[in-house]
Amino acid sequence: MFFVLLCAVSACFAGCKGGSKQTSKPNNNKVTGKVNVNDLFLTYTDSVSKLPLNRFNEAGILLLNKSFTAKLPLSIYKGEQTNNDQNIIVQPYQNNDTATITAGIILLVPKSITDSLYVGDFTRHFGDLKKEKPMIGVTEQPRPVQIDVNANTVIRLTFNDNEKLALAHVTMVEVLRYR
Amino acid sequence: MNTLVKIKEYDAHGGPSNVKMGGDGHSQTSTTTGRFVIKSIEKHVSYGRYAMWSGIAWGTEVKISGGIVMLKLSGQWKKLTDVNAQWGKYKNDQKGVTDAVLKYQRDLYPNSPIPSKWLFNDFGHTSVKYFKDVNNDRKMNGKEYIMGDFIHTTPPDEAATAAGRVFQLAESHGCIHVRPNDIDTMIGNGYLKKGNTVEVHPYTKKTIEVSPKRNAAGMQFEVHFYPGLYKIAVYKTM
Repeated sequence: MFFVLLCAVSACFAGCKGGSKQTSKPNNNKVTGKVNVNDLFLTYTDSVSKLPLNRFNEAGILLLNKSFTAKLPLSIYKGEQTNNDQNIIVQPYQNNDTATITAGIILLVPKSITDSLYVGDFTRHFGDLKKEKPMIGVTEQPRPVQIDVNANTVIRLTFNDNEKLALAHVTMVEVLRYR
Repeated sequence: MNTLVKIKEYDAHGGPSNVKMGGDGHSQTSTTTGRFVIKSIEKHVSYGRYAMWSGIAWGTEVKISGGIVMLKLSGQWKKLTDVNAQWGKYKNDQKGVTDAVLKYQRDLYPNSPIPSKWLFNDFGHTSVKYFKDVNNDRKMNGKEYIMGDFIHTTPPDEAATAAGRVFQLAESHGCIHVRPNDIDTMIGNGYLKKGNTVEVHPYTKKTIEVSPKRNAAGMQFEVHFYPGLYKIAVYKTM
């Protein structure tokens, strides 16, 4: 009786261990891969948000990108756009004096990264979403959400609609510098 | 049967491949597959769920007078809250309405914070509407109806285009989103024209057909949407 019980318990542990060993590797790889790309993208976004205003231009971006060239597929927007599934397209822009936003930097997220990049990743890294008064009426596309980085800098996230906002896939990130 | 020869490709984005619930509790559906005939190309005005921001035609003149948002409709200035029942619910909150319009304008057009035109219609400056031609007479009759899936642009994409900013076509609720400049090109070149065929391929199709064979019904061009590839292909009939 004891022997049968011992065998059963041993088999159970062996099964659990075996199962764990079989499944943990791909899962770990997947998680590691996801974390790597997401973490790198978040780190890059963080670096963009820390650029001084006089670096919100192509030269400033090019200088920053040198630190990330081997890590992320970055390219500067050159005026012609097609659906790009590989590169993060970066575009700095300046507004005129009437705008409350002085300048911005757009990070267009390729589909390959969007698929594993969620609004929740940004809130975990940068903090809670800015609480805004709900908009009157419904729009077909969800309105972007924002995270205040500091008194003058905001990260605006555009995403594909999802029942749970934290799980919505991010398609575009804008780092905005207010006056 | 005619041979179709691919002459152009454009970016496009349809609904999700499987139905899913949006954040507003409204489901997003896949773009309906099949062959359709274009019924009209026009500025869309919504009367249902999107009747607030999309209940006013794209480009309608706007002014803010005495803190109240006014629209010029049929030559007459009218309060926004008098335009339809949905906006009418806010007739006692003119400040709230004005703040909402100004905020949306600022978000989309930071360099032009005061609106002079209504650029908030979810269906953009023009929409291409099509129907399933069940009896193959190229006319919408009997129980045929315009599909809920239009080809159109979106306010953020229109704003980005106007400002020369880069943007990503967003996943739709079933419609086919295209770039503002591309829809103009496709209309201007006669690719999208009343009576022309629009074909929506299955999401599983992962290559764009180069020279498919179809009954072109005497039309010079066909527009094919490949939702799984995020592309529209324009074909010339031979």
